Amino acid sequence: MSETVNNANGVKDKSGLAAAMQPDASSPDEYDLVIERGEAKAIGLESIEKGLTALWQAAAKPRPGDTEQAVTRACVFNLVIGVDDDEMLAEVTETIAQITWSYPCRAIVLVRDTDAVGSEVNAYISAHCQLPTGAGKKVCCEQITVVGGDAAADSMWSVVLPLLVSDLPVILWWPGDPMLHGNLFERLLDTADRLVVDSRSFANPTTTFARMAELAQQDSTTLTLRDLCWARITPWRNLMAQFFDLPQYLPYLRQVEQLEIHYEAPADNTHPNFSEALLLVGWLANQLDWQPAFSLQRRGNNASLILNQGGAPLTVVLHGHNDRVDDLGGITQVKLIASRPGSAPHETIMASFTIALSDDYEHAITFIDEDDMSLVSRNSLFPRRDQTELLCEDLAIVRRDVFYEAALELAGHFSPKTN
Amino acid sequence: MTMTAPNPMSTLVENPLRQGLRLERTPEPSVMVIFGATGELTHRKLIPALYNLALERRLPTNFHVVAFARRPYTDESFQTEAEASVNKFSRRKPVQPAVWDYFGKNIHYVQSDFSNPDGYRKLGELLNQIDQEYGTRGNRLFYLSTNPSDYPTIVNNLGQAGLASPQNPGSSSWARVIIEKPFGHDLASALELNGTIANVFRENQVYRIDHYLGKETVQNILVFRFANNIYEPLWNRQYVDHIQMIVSEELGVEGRGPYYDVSGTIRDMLQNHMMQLLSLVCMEPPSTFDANAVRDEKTKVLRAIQPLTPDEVVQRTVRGQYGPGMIFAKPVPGYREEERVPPDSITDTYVAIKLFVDNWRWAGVPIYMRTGKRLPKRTSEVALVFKPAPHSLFNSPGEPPLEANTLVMQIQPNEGISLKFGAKVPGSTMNIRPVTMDFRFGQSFGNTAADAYERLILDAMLGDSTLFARRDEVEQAWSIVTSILDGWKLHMPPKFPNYEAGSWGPQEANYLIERDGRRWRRL
Repeated sequence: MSETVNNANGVKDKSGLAAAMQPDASSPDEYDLVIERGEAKAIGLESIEKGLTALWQAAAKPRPGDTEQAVTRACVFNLVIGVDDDEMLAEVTETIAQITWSYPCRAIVLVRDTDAVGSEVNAYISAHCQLPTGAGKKVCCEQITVVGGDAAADSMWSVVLPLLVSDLPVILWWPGDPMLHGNLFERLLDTADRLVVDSRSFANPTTTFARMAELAQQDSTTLTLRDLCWARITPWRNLMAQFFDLPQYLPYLRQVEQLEIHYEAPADNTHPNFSEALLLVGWLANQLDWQPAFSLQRRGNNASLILNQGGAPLTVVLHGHNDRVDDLGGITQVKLIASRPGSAPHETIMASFTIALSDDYEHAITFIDEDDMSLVSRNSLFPRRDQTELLCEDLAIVRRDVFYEAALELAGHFSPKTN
Repeated sequence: MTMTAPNPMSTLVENPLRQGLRLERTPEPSVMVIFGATGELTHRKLIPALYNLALERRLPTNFHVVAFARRPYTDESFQTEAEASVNKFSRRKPVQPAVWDYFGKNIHYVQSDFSNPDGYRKLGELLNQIDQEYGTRGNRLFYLSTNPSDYPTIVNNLGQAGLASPQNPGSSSWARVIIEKPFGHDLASALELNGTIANVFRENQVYRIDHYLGKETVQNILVFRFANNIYEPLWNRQYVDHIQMIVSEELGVEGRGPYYDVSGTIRDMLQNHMMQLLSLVCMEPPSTFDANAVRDEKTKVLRAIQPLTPDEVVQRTVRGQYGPGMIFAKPVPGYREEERVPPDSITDTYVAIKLFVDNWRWAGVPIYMRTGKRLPKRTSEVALVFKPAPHSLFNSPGEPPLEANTLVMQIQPNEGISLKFGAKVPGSTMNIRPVTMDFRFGQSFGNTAADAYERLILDAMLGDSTLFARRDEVEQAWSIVTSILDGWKLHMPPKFPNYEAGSWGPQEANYLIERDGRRWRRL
């Protein structure tokens, strides 16, 4: 029997790593702890399926106070997750636990252990159970955590493949900056139906966007690309679209003069994350037929970009602010300045369309200024969503999002130059 | 294959930024006008459904509600009551203040009698004002949540006030009307109501709501049948012995005596919910999943059911009314003892019926339907009972036959699908027991299903009428049910009450199926 290797969340504690590596020689009671306390249990690589079977047999036993027959094991897809450290492991474990009720799955978490020596790979199993709101069985799903050092990275795919539940989709979720190359990633990508990333974590967004756009082209018949950042900017896209639901403002979309995007940037000006802003620009560029003209020019946390709008230049300006350290990269304001011909000869009417987050970051205020007159001002709900909510929202959408892929491709062309 | 996102700038007629966002099924900016806004349906279902849609960001930001009713309220006092309704009836209660701040303040109230043209003039002015201030573009969804006798008055007044037509001719603005059941009380009245509506609204503006069609499990009948290839070869008279359908409730009339006593179970459940289920189960595959293609096929099923002759009504229908009994160990009164029900009422609270769909697929396959109040439990199921294997290998002489394979689509509760088949009991002898393979929505997808009204209101706002009843469907269903009602008029009703509350209905209903050598499923 292994020593305790888990904290209260069922997450591996490195101090227990050595003990966890013992081969599986468990008594059935040990699996009770996995079910009842949500603990992770160390298990030999070849014994994972056997251990899971024992786990579910333990789960099926009636317990004191049970009114229904124990639990139901459910699985609607395989969720393979790559994480870089224990902190990220804790976050994704929490997310897996939370999505169980809506999306029971087999979660296989690959953890990069930078302290590991050699090519050893260790595995742990745990269960996440949710009680239904009314009467009924508890619904449980399983998590397999596979830990290995850099030297093991090339071989970890061989642990994953036999663990995939047959005939179910494979979703590869990479919450950190994805490698997008290398044996592990390419092998995993070969089996995946969907790749989910969060471009806020990209160190070099435009390079990674370009690489992802290539993936979309190569694997367009099978692989669906998703980005939690795209889900974050959906409310911005929606609010921007709503301005132009009013037919009188539609002509402004033919002649956009400038686009200003304000976003949260780090205080030290070192690594501003433009992902959200660039995706928004990429989306507008695709919808409005703007072409990249010059590369992104970066000055500290600010940047500018020139696009070609039917032969006329269009300036995009990104302004970094440092108001919320917990939302770095998040957009806080978008302003589109545009013109249209007036009724008199050579008359031009200017208008600006602005969406700004309120001080409480819970609402968005939208307003239109036309010909120096403030016309429409509205306040709408703008709830912030955490990683779990974003992931659930994404999992609910089955089809490919060609609009995201088009935005991605354009955003990949905005390679930055630093002045 | 390379898929590219279309570029819409070449023709800037529609908003190019809307493309792609439509995937998320966000309707266009619009106003929903609820007639009968102080009624129970509005507070129990409509306002909570709209709030839930707002909470899930399914409504456009530019969305307003206008409540139209006779009672005196201000915008503010109605908003307060609406908030209380959400707190009481929403599946997402309690109210989130931030959501209510944005949703609640967009609720307006117009006080008027339904027959007063001034009320419609005031309504028109308010709608124009909302259009101008909030960009709702003349898009209006009228919801008739009133007594059905008010429908003609409201529809005619909407027409006379010029509110039934799109407000900006030449643009894509729209006006639609949702009408709650019952759509008439027999064929003649349904024809008359549909005629009145057709004088004011085109059929593609009319959304006849039957909330059963908004249930996920009902929609899943279509998916189960037409997204999977393995069932289709079995889904016909070659393999199906008979079909059973049940919609049962343990509840009585719950204070709705005056309504129920003139409608009865046959009008309240069979004419609408059960006929909809029947048409979904028996329809041919539509060529596309388009509103009219689906409804064409559903209507064909109803057309293939011949109205019953008076003799067939005697042979193939059973009506019942509950007497006192026990539900969950508590005594409950009989129907005639219910509040505001006449003590000599001959209204049916139970109906069992045997129908045939006379077409190539279903000829000779009996469809047994039963529905009633004060039955032992609430359940809605459709079961296809298959024919036995052609040659019995495993039955010894004297043993009962193996149980039939049965495919059950459980509409509510415990939504799901199960297939019953025989399996060998482990051991040295060849013993066979029936077992089931179960799929449960709650276990595979979590408890996330939206309320039927949320789905249907959203569909109406999006202009998708697939899950709404079309005029000819309603009239065809009424022609079947009216033939039964006419047959019943020719004969003395049974001696009511004829079943005990908490039982599975009158004994005659058992005879109805047992004389064909079959049995009701044990539920």
